[in-house]
Amino acid sequence: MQPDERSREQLVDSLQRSEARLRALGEESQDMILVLDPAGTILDVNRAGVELLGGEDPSALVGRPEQELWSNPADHEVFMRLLRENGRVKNFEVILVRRDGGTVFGLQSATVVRGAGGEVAEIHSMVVDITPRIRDAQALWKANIQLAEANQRLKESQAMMVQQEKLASIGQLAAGIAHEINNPLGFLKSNYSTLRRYLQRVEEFLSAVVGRDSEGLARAQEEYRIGHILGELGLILEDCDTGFRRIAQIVLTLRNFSRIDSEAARAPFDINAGIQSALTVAHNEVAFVAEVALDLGKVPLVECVGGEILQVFLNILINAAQAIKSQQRSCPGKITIRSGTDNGRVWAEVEDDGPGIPADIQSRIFDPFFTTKPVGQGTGLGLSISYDIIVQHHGGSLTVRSAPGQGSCFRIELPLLPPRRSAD
Amino acid sequence: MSEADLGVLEASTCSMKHFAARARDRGEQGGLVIQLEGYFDGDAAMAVTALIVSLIENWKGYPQVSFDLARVSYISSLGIGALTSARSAALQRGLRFSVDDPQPAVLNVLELLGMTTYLSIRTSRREE
Repeated sequence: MQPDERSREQLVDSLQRSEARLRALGEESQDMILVLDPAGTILDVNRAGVELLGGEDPSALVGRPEQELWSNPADHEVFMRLLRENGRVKNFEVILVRRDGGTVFGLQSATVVRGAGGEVAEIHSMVVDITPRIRDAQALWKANIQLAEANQRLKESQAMMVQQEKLASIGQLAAGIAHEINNPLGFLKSNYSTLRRYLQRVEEFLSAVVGRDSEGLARAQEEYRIGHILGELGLILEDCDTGFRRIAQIVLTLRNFSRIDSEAARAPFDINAGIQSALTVAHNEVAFVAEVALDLGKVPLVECVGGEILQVFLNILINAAQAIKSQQRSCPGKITIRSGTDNGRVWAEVEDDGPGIPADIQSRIFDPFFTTKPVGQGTGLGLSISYDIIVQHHGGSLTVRSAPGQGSCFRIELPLLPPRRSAD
Repeated sequence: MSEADLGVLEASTCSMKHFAARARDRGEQGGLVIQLEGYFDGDAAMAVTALIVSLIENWKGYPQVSFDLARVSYISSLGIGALTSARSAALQRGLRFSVDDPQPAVLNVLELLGMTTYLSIRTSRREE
């Protein structure tokens, strides 16, 4: 054999081995491999591709437009457009339809193979099956949305619970609030009677002085005590002002308290004024069981939802009064309320000299539905909601110091500017 | 939210050849409207998902978020992931949410993945 002939035989042998290797590579590939003509008609497909589509014979696919295998023919147009523009496409998500009608999610990459003249000769393409990955993602998307929905429902129920707890507190305090309104109303009513009486006297005086001279007028003035009436009128009106202000203040406090709060309700709030408002609303509950001592420091305004903070003060104040009342002692107890600032935070403390909280339940008092009160006297939500308001809604802290027989002291700390309530 | 804040979304896609996104405040006519256009593929989704979620988280206007998909001709799984992230963010803020007028190819993908109910698809197209 001549050297040239031997060399050619070696070359042919090498090419045949190379072709066999490439064919084996395609046939043994776990991913779908396709060869398309420039129009997108299938020229060849490997065994993995046939199996992926649920078929048995490649001949059932060869000669068909690839577009027919796609769930969305319009997507194929997008794919071919990108391929024409760039000469290659990498990881284009496709949805293929199996022979049994099922769907396969795949990532298709493709390269244009050009002929000697630069024209598109073939398209070589590979599809990786990502169906399990897409199914996992699908489950995750649904779970995330369901979780967000559940979270939203929880927030709504929580807001409803807070509102119900508020209404329960108002119900509990209704008698006291009625008393607080009735008191000024009593003297307003009395003043009203007096004013009517004085008006009648003035009318009589005016009738009596018709046609009288100045001397007669002066005598009538004395007789009808007009000077006295005019002097009294100023005092009575001043008294009425006080009464109206007190009623208006109670109504305003109640309105602020019962409002359904929202993020928009955040505004600069005077903690000391909040304490005073809570004392106004809870006056009847507190006044007959304890003396209240106020030691309020000068505190800056706090950016918060005022109605919520008011509710916390009210819950803690009523708890203190009820704790003292539960001891049925002969002399009144003492509730001390302090406020101040510390490290850029405003704090307030409500301390009572009641029975104190046993150590074994101190860690549970902020749990929802935990109560030591008799059935029907407490929902067990007051301190839980208070904790939520202070800690979750306003980024503050609510703590308790207590020992049996030595009373309890609840301390609220609030940052001047709480974090935004976005993911609660 | 200012026009500049809304404009960030459009700016993030201005260099993309086959995708564009813009946000508009439509007030009571639709709240925050996010209009997408072109191929909502993996690259597009990665470019805009975080921005869209941030827009929703900071949205203070009329409480509604709508995605206008009338001009989206292709959507990938990451595109759907972006829509679900937006949906979750809207739920967290208590905002109404809808995906409006998807083209048939996009609607088909959403249906195949069982996401139409979750994403509150609305269509204003009249039957031919």
